[in-house]
Amino acid sequence: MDDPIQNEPPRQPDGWELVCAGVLSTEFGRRPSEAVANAVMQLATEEAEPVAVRQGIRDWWRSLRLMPRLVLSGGCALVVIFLAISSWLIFGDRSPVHTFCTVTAELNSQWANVSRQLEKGDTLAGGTWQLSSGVVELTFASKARVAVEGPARFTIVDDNSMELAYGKLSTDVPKPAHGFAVKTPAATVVDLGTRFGLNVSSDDSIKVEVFEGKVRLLTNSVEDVPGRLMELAQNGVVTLTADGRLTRSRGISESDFPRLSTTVVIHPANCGFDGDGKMFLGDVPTNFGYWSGPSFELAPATQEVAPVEGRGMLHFLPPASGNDSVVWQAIPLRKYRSMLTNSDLQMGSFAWFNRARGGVNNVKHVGLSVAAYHGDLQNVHDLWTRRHELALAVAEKELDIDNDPATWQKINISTALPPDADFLIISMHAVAPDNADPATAFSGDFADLVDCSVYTPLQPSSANR
Amino acid sequence: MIQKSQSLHIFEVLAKQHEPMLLAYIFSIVSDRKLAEDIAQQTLLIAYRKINSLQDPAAFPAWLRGIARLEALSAMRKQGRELAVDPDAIQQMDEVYRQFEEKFSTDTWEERFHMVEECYQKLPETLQTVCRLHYFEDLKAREIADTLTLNLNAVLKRLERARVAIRDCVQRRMNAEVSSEIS
Repeated sequence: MDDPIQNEPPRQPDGWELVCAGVLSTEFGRRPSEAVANAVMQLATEEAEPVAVRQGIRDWWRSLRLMPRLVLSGGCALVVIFLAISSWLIFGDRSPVHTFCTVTAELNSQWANVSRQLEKGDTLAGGTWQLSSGVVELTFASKARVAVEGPARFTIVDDNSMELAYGKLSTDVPKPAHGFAVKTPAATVVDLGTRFGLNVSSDDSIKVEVFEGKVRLLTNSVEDVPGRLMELAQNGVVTLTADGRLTRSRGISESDFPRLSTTVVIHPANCGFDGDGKMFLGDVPTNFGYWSGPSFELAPATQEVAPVEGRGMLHFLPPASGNDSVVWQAIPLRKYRSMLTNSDLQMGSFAWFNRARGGVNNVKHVGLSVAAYHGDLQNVHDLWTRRHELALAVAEKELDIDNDPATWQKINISTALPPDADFLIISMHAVAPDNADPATAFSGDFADLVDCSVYTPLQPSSANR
Repeated sequence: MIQKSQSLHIFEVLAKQHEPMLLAYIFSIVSDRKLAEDIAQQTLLIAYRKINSLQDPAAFPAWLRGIARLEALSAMRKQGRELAVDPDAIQQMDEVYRQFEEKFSTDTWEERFHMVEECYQKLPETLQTVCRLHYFEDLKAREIADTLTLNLNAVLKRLERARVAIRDCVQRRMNAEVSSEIS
């Protein structure tokens, strides 16, 4: 085709032409675009933060909702009140969050630039922390859990998000905490209900590995390269350099990241000695789920001693033979097995003990024992008395008990638990005094609130094990 | 999935409805499809955050264009790009979009844009080709010139002729549409 006026410079298009050009560029509205999806994703991420419910949006939304119904109802007061109440219910301010997360475990953690090393049980309300070495486990108010391995520098932003400047972390995010976000120098990683590992190197490049579930990655804009939004599925790996170069691959290596602890608390039946569940006076129990022992009772509060919790406690009575007073309970483990990974299992138990002010005949020692066995609950007497040779694992401890009825003393025990354990036998005992006189001994020895847990401890990545 | 508030959900539906118009509008100003995507995203973020300043929900698309215009101009300034569009033309463009909305108030943007497509289909083959390369396949005029072994000015002229032809065709149809409605 010839262009007779092609040497004239093109003129600027008018508004109509501009519109036509724009329409052409969208292929008449059919060309796919990510603009809305990306914007909404970013807004939803922001809304996941506690400050996100903005007054303006609330008002606008309220006016949108109110308008048509007001017109329809002719301004019926009841409708207005109903809508006002429902809006208030939906948009009512959240109560302020003072504590964003708690240190729920730590292993050899060393902190820099702090007046005091952080310990298990410490609560954090925002701020930046520098972990020189070791591993720390944080549990956010949202229930998201994070294991951070040093050297690392992180900032607690709010009850469901944090920033990681460098270091390694892994997360476990249960349903209520979906949307948990970790901001890094190269991207923001948003959790969609999952476990993932994140490594931020000193050159600001990042690596994300999805162990389970899905995560969403919002990469930062670098100069004129705009940020991208992508989803990463289970087993997916993404590395992203600080200048925005991105590589996707598959095949995770969970041991490259710190491992969160997992805990299953196993309550023995009637663990607080409050209930009326079955109990037997006798030998080691031949079945699961009840306390058995030669001489004990459930006691209410006495004049001197109140239960740790609830209305009852265990009262050790002297056995007729003048031996130690013992109670046992057998606890099945098989039903918990699927909840725990099979390596590095630990079992732990604790119980509280107390003794009333008493004569010289009162016991001086109390003890807590747990033994784990493989197989079936048979020949229990033998299993218990020969536990040091027949059990897979035994943990036990005795305690010198003070003479103060106002204080309860706690015994904690723990040991490694082989993965093939099928049941536990837990026992508490009060050691008979040397000159035990059945008439006067054990006038006031108590135990209360016993619990067991099976757990895998917090662990560093394989490089630091 | 990450939780969306109900207001964000409503906003998403509204924004999705106007997404083609928003992208077309921004492209008209910046002539760069990728940049238009970014500006559209930025526009939507601002729109949601400022939505309480929108008094009349029916004015949403025009209000969105207002934000987009400012964002597009500021993005061009930031990138040091020369604005190839006359400010009066932008104003006229707003007027054209308003006409689209008024005359076809119940249509979606895809339906409104269909008229432009019909006019494009009527273009001679040579003009369709440059349009396709430039607008659908994002080739710059210089690249089209190389592909078709034409000089740059010839490509620019063909693009202009195509736009003018489509414009005239769309204007005729819009007027016809109005008169058929009246009669």
